[in-house]
Amino acid sequence: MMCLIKTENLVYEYPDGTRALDSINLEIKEGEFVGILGSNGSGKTTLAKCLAGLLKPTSGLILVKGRDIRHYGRKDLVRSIGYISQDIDTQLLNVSVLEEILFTPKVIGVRRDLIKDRFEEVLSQLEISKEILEKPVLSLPRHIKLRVLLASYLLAGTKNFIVDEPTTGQDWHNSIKFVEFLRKLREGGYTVILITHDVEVLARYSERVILMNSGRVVADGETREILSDVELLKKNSLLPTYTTQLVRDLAVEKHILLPEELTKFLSLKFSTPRPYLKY
Amino acid sequence: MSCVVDLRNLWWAYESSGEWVLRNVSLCVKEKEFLLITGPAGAGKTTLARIMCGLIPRSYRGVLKGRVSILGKEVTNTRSPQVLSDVGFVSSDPEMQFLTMSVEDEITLRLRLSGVSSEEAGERVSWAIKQVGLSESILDKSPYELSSGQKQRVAIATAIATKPKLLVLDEPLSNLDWAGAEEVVKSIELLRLNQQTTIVVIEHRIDVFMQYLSRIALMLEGTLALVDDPLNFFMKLPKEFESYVRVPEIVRIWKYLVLRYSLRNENLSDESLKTHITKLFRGLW
Repeated sequence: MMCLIKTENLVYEYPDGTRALDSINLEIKEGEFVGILGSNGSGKTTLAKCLAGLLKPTSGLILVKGRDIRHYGRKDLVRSIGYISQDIDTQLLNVSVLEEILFTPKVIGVRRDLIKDRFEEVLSQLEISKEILEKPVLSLPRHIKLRVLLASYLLAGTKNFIVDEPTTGQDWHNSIKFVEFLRKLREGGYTVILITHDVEVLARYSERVILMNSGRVVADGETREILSDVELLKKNSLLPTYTTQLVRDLAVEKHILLPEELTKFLSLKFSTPRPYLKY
Repeated sequence: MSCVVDLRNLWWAYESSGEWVLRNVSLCVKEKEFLLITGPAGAGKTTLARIMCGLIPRSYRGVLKGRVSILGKEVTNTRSPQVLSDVGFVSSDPEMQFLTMSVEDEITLRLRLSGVSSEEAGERVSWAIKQVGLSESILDKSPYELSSGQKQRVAIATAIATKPKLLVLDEPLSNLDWAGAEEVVKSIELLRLNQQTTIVVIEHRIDVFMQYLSRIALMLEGTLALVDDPLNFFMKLPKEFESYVRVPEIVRIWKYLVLRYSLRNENLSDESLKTHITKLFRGLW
């Protein structure tokens, strides 16, 4: 797979001198589903904004598809990486849902007939009802706003997404539904970089986790390895999933290996510590 | 025991939309109870929270049918400026609540408004800040400059500083990571134990609260679809409603074992779960 993003000694300092990112070196390939995990203030959002070209690093390098991010024009970059912010309202620039959906493809310069061809398909793919197209986009619930932005990027031909905390402040049903859309896109070859502090969401969907704390990458690897490391998570102010703790406690304290079927039932396939299961 | 919150056949419609947002809601929240209300967006949860802390009908225009009594005071149909001073409220958007330019002023103002002397206010400010796991160095900062997690904690500190008899929290954890959430939940529970505070919390994240809850309520389309103690709530939860609720992992494992191995449905705790599993799976090592 081709390398989508590569950073070399990426540093970001706020104007007051606070170092939000400290020597970040990472590589994300096209077609990956990667979770960037960390507690409040760990630097996740700053990293996301740097990777999306919204913040200029203080020093270090960001390569997007092998090219220095500084050499990208705005339109070019949007075609390569779509960013969906946590403060989604600040990203919505149009009055109606329809205008918002058409905004990015128009700005990018996608031909009108191409937009028209894919419009219906994208709408049904993200289950956006036609009845809301004329509604003011700011009046909609957060989970619909997320879909509207995603639809706009899809029509613009963007294939790689950085999504910041899509599951906070919403009901579970709609949170999971949105991540399911991302999962389906990923199956179609899209890249998903999901920023979250929700260990359970990553345990369900992500194969790889980049764990951050105080502006540094403290672990980067297979989700199962990282989410099974109870000490590592706790040290970084995160809570392992209940399943992880239970499976580990039973193995260590009571010498019981749970059958794997139990974890399948839980659908938390990436959070059960491998050595403590019976296959 | 009398009800701290007593709602009888309550209907409510905002004047702006004219649609019933609450439909025939009846609920009695008892003293020292820890009640969690969950449900999808638009179900009426925030409206119910506004009723419980007296914001409706005081500050919103609309039509109310039925009876509302909070801490023994009838609030139905009054638009009087009477402040329910014994009720603490944390909104889901903490920034909306801030009125001053420093965290200390923010909490002090709330205390002074509810009649706490300035000498006592200082002590209470320190106490409240500590309860939510913040350090005193934050007191001089502007609440607007803080991270979203810190804002949320300041809003909670402000609400608990007055040691209210009833505390209503609307999605207090939405910006907190797990460690922060746990800390805040523990401080709310301490308040309940030490100050006999009745707690009503609106949340999607049930698992962090699970061990402290007295009851869980599910709101759907303006009605209370199910209200029960935590274990029974999840056991009775109809399949078609399951996607609306973030069922904690411990419950999912329990439910699975109960169904698969015909276990008796009894009190649910980490310990009891481990004991059952030990019995079921011993010898697999």
